[in-house]
Amino acid sequence: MLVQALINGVLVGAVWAVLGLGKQIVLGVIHFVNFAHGHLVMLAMYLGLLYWTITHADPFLLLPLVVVSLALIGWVLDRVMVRRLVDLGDRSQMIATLALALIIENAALLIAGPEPRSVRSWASSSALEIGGVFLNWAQLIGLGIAVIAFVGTWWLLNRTPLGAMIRATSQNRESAQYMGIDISRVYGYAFALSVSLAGVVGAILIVSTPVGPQSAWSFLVLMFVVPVLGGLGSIGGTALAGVIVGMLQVLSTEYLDIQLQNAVVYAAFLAFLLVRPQGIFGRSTDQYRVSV
Amino acid sequence: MTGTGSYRAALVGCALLCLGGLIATTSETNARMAAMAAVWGLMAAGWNIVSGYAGPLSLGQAAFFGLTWFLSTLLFIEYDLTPYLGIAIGVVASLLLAVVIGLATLRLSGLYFALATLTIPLIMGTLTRYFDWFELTRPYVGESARHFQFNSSLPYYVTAAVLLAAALFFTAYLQRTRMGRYFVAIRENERAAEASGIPTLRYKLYAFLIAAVMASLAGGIYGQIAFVFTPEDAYSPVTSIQALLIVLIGGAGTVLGPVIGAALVIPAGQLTAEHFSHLPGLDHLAYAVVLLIVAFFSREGLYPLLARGTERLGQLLGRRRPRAPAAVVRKEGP
Repeated sequence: MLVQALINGVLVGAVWAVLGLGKQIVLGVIHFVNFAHGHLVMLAMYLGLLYWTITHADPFLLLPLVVVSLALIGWVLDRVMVRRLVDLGDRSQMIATLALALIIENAALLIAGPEPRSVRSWASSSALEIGGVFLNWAQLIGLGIAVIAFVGTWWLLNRTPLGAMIRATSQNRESAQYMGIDISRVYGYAFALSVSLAGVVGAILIVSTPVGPQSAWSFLVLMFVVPVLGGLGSIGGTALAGVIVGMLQVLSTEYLDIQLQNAVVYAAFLAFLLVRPQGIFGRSTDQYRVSV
Repeated sequence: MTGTGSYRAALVGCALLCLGGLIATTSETNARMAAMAAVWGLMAAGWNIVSGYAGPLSLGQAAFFGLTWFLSTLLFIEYDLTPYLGIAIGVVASLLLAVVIGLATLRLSGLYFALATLTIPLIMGTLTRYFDWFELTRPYVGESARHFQFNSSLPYYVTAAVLLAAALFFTAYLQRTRMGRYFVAIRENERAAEASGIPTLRYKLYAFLIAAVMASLAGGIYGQIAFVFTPEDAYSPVTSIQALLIVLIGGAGTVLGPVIGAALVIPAGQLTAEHFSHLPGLDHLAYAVVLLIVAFFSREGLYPLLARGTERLGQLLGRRRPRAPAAVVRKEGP
């Protein structure tokens, strides 16, 4: 039973790792605080639902469409608000992205109504059995996509010219500028990448989870915990933190109650923060010190 | 920020509250609106202390607001405890909660504090639902001062207005004390404040505790007016956001900000919600638009923005007036 729980933890946690990765990029590269990240995930879920209602294709086949849509939304958001907010300080960023969150939530309420909705998929109701352990197909495919997203992001950041520009900007904005890097373009790409990752998360989640206008707030706890737990700036740490969070959730569902899963994660996290504020792999809390 | 000036602002605030009282006597609808505005003004006055004066951005005042609302209602139902004591217990509980949150997150950068405060009420809502408190209704006992229950909203308004007036005078008093100056020093530049020997963590915590007390008193009175407690209402992020919206509209870091903001936001929000009840969420969309304007154009809030606008308009029209002593010029931290 414990083996099953631990494996489920990995399956659930992989998605949270991608959620944390998107947040990590925007915080680490642009030094931009995005409180609407969870709401962008919810937007992706709604888009997945919309495309599925129109085409009735398999939700996993619609994933690229959702991700591309979110990349476009990220690009537009960068043009309209992020670009202007970068120099205005964290307080303005928090307030503006909180406003964006309210807009997405209430637009969803106005357009789709208050009831949770879901798609129907063969994958969420069938499982693969290996040696007495059941693996839900939706979660298994989700894990595969999460791994691809992770490896793809790592490859993009470490093996491409764009990645080099992003990393250079992250390390030292002024020096990068002197080297002839177009900072505002790099910021735009990084933000679009982060929002695309939110799209990946939403597209995976919609297959097995219903979505309602209030859904996004439950991601808020996770998108806070995962990057900070892993250590800001550490991609490996983010993956590990996602899996730890997933396991905590599954174990608390198993032994306590499903409602309590985020409360358990949060309590464990606060306790951890008191002992090691820089996260598992983070070097110091000062590295991405954000003053408000 | 001269001392006498801030007391004068508090007196102006009291005059506005008296005016609100006059409006409240005209009809029950108006009295209810005025009571709501005064309660939210009190909540906003707390936010103004921690985030307007001292600096750390708290996005979770709903935690204390909801906790006191919940405790005073629950203790009344279960033990017939008078709400006055229930609210007092709620204030103590809120203080304890604020110490835990503050000590865990105020040592880190402001981002951690903001995120922690935003998420705590959500967790509290989950816990409340887990223990099956989906809805608590205060039993109706009729007009009874002992049970803090009245058929008219006027006594609620008076209670909230007196507390709000006290909060305004406290804010004005704070500006003349060492603590108030430390708050502003921390807001302007935390590292510099730390370097000049101010124990920044301790003073940020003090500000947070003051804010928690005011939010919790506001929640206690709100609970008596609202009668029904639901975790969705009490611990909603919008509850916290409303506090900052009010201050940002009225002017952050000013004595009068919470009163002016509450007088504008609460009636406007309620009228929008009533008139467009077929379009749920429209009032919150309007909040979001105002927040965006504030985020992009003015750190201090909408009122200073308007004041600057009219000043510039006056200059354009050729009326040369000596510049009024403007709000403290703030620089963004590093």
